[in-house]
Amino acid sequence: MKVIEAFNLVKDYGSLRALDGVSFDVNYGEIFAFVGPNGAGKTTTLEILQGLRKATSGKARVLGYDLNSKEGLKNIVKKIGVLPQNFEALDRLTVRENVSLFAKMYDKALNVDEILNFLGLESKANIIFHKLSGGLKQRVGLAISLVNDPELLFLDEPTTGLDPHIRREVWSLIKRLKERGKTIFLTTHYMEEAERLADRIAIINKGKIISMGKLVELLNQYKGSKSLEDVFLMVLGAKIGEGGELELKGF
Amino acid sequence: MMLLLIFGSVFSGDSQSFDLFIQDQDDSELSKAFINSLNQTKLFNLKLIPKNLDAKEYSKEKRSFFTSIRILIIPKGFQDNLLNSIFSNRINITVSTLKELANRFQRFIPEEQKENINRGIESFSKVNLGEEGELSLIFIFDPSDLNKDALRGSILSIANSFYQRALGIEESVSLKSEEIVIRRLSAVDYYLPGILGAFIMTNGVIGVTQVVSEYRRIGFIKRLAVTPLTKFEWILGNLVTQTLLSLVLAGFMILVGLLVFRIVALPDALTLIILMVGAFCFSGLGLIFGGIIKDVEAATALGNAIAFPMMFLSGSFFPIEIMPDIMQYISKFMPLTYLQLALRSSLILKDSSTALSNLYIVVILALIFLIVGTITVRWRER
Repeated sequence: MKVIEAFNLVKDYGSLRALDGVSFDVNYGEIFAFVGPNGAGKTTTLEILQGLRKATSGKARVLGYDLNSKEGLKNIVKKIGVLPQNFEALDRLTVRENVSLFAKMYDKALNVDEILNFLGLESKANIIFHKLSGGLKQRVGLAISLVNDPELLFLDEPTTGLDPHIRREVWSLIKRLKERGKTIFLTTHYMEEAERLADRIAIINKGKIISMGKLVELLNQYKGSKSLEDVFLMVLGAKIGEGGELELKGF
Repeated sequence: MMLLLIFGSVFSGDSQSFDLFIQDQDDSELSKAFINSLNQTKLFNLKLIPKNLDAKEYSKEKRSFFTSIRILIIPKGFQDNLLNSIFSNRINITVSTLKELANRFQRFIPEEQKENINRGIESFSKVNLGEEGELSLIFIFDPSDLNKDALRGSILSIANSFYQRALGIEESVSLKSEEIVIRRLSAVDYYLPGILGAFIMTNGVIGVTQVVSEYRRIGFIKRLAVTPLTKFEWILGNLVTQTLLSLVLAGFMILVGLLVFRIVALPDALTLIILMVGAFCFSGLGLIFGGIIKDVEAATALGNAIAFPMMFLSGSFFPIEIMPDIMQYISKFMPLTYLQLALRSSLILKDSSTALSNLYIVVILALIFLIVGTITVRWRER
């Protein structure tokens, strides 16, 4: 079953083409990673799929609903969870108040304490949001994205700017969410993150998907690559030497 | 709140009096009587300075950054000149009265008596009181004194009145003063509507602008947009919250006014409605600016740039009537002017029809701001 179907998405910002015919599917229950350098079009794709932006052309369906219909969008926002890049909540509210505030926006919401327990935030529940570290703020963002028990989770660079050990904590949370049957659409520019978490990976650059598939398929496709990072660099036009070193043109 | 306390403290006293130094160079009975007349007006706080000092030098010494120096000199010869002038005027009046009588009733007066009258008039006309000196006072003032013209006029008026009494003329025109309202209101009561209006306006224009632009900057609005919450629900929620916040704080200001300054112009139901609509209106205006400007610093600067001139141009602190024509014209385009008039009419004058007519304008503006604000705040990008 397809949770996301995107067909030939194009997005122009004035004369700049941010997305240039992006097509892909995301299957139920999988973690799909969108990998690419900064400005490749990851967030734009994500925001189109969340209904925050309109594509200049192309079609997309999320959870079976047409993104271009108002009714479809109404249904989509009830069933998705979103963790934006550099998540910020209301500074002067506590963790519990912030999560509860979002829970009240849905007809059906999970128990706030259960969510906090699941994410290990029970001891931080009464702490004011602005006093939290970056990692904890991301965890609160994740808690908020789960209040409506979503079928599909959008995580936009969930570990950017976090310390390595906190990043691993977030990874383990994402894995637990997958185990609970959530479909996860993840954007990242950390290759290791995509390698460890994703069932399928799409590499996007300059608004186009350059390569897409399981990690094994990508490694097979790009001979000599030993990791996703190698694949990524080769996709961008670099050559990998036998010792794994990067051969840059002109040197 | 600070504004209320400062204005209240400055203006809560009874009638204002002005310092006036007096140098009585004549030191006579009439000069003392004149000083007494000045004192009885209670307009001046009189301070006598010795007659042998140089008044101008004295004023330079006494002048400070905070006070304006005013000196009234009663020159030597004041009493003599005053008496001369009084007698001279009395003779003139007597002569002209006799001439008028003789003229008007000549047919009833026997010839013999007519001659006596003419001789008498001739004798009166020849009376010589000696050389008549100039009857004048000297007023030394500070050019930066804003009250100098008004005080100069007051002194002149008191002096003329004193002269007329000395001449035996009773004051024929009296001025009866009546307060606008029957209630006994203090100065703070009069300032309260202005301060309340200005506070509600700044809370909306600066506060809401900052909140909305900050939410946009941190991406919070985007986060809300991917929930079932609609843009209109969020905007309405924001405006209602800001309105309630304004009402609570306005209530607190009124309470301070009541406890500290014993104000009597307490809000009734109509005033509460005006406050509520005003808060809604200016929160809507803040919403428009917050929707347009993403940068918080720029939004704050714009809020200040609009709020402060509006505060002064809408009659919050100074009556619109004393402003130059151009400013009076501009004030008509200030939404705060109408909130101000509605609050004033309702709180002080208890004139509900004027309050309502201004309230209608605020209601219309609130609706316009709500509609425009809903358009300028972008929920989903295009």
